[in-house]
Formats: sequence, structure tokens, C-alpha cells
Amino acid sequence: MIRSFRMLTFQGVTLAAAAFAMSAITFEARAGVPPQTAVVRIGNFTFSQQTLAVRAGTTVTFVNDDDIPHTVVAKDLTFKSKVLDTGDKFSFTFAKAGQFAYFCSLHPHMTGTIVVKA
Amino acid sequence: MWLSLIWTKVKSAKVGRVLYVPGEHDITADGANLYLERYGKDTKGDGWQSFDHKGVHFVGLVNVADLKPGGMGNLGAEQLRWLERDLAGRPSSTPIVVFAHIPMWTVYADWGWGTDDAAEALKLLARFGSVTMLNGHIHQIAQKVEGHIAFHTARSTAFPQPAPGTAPSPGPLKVPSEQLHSMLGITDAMFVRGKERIALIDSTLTI
Repeated sequence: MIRSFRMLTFQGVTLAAAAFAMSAITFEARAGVPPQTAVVRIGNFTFSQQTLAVRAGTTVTFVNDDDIPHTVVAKDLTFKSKVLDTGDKFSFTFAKAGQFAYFCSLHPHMTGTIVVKA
Repeated sequence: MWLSLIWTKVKSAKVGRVLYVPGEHDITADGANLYLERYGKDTKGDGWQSFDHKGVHFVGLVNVADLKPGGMGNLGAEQLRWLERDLAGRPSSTPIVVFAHIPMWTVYADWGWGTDDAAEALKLLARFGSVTMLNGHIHQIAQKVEGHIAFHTARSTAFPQPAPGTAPSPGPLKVPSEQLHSMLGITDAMFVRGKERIALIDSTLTI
């Protein structure tokens, strides 16, 4: 329960930040379009999708299914999770189009890219 | 549970001083501060350190901080500069023991089992007649000798990991419980002076 509460809080903060940054997102939210979501799972020291394409405004949730703690950190440090224990989640809303390379800062051979389309 | 097991082992070693180098899980995404507070007082940078004991020079290096995407272990320019200064002026006959968490030679790159800039450190160590490089991280024994440098990785007290490339990932190796203790362990290093006659070195007088 506590974990999901934190998750919601984090998403709320991210959405608020995105709203300041991109009015288009708030317009979409007001228009009642359900927010788009995607999931990247972490297992066997790999991210389940090496490259994941999403539309701008999508919230991507990373779920650690592995036996070992991992992190999700943007190469340019625009996002950085805490250390995720088994079952922990981290979400980030990709407001802008672009390519966002990320890695596990504990096991840096684990890499992935989110491709955000406008 | 395994943390308390380690602690029992460490306490039973009956030594005056316990020194640590961090593993990748000891430095959080927010940096090394919590580690340094608890285990790294009087160390430099993210926890590197050196000291002398009975004629042997010990160096603890940190290769788990500021890791780069797609890379392996990382010492970083600042720590390498410190190492250069630390070794400068020491006679090449000084026995050196280096300890660092991630292997200082590439055991298996696909799993990140190596240190990207280890060669820089090895260059600084190459002139010494006896260098022992002790590592952990891969939770199994691997050894290699290169020139005067002997590399050795130790077992873990937590869980075994698979041999390089023998599993889909380097995650914990599940073994029958009766086998588990035979795959966990600690490494003792003893200093034994060689029996060979010392090399004779002639040099001219300098003013």
C-alpha cells in the first residue's frame, strides 16, 4: 500500500511538472484523453525492451522483477530512480519528443532507450 | 541474515582494524555519503585509501562509483591521480596489495565483470616486484597472473553467482541447500617473504 501511494505521489508531481512545461499535455488531460502508459520490466539483468517507442506524454513504469536491486538512470540524468528492490517500481512521464538513453547505474552494462514521438 | 553472518565473521577475525571498500550496492543513486559515514571515515574520494603494514603497502580502490552507461567498473581520473601520487617514491621492492570490489581485469565483459580504466592503474603498478590484486563482485574464485601481478577474486558470504556465460544473467545461482555453504566463503591472504637471494643492484655515486 505504501509503495503504491508513493508511486501515485511521484506521478502526480511529474504530471504537475509536465503541465508547467508543456501546456499541450494539460490540454490533453482536460480533454479527458486517458493518459498513455507503458511498462518496462527488469529481469535477468536486462531491460525487457532494449528500445521502446512511445508517444509524448506517456508515463513509462519500470518494474524490477529481478532478484537483485537495480536503478533506472537517464544517460543525461533527466531522471533517476532510487535503488529498486525486487518488486519496486519507478515511473517517469516523457513529455518531450526525443531519444532518451538510460541505464542501471549499479550494473551499467544494462542499457535501454525510450524513443518518444511527438 | 547474510549481513549478520558477515558481521560474525568480521568480528571473529580478531583484528584491530577493519577496512572496507564499497561494492556497487553500497553506494546508492544519491552517492557515497551514507557509506562514507559508516564505513569510510578517514578515506578519500568515494572511499579510497592506503596504509602500510609490516612492510606491505595496501591500497583500497573504489571502482563502483560514477559508472558509465554501457561500461563496466570505473576508477576515474581523480582516483588514478591519487594512486599515482600514493605510489610515487615507493621502492619497487615494496610488496603491494590492492583491493577493489569489481575485478581489475576483464573476467567477462558481457556481464560487466571488469574495470574500464583498470589498465591505467596496472601501468602504475607494473614496476613493483610483487602485486596482489584482490577483488570480489563475481561471488566465485577466479585467478590470473600477469607479469608481477597476481589477480584473485573471492567467494561471497551472501550467494554464489554463475560462471561467466553459463546462465542467462549473473543473478544469484540457485543451488541445492546442502551445496550452498561449499560455494560461499572468505579469502585469507598471508604475506610470505620469498626465499630467493635478493637481486644485487650497482649504482654510481651521485653528488
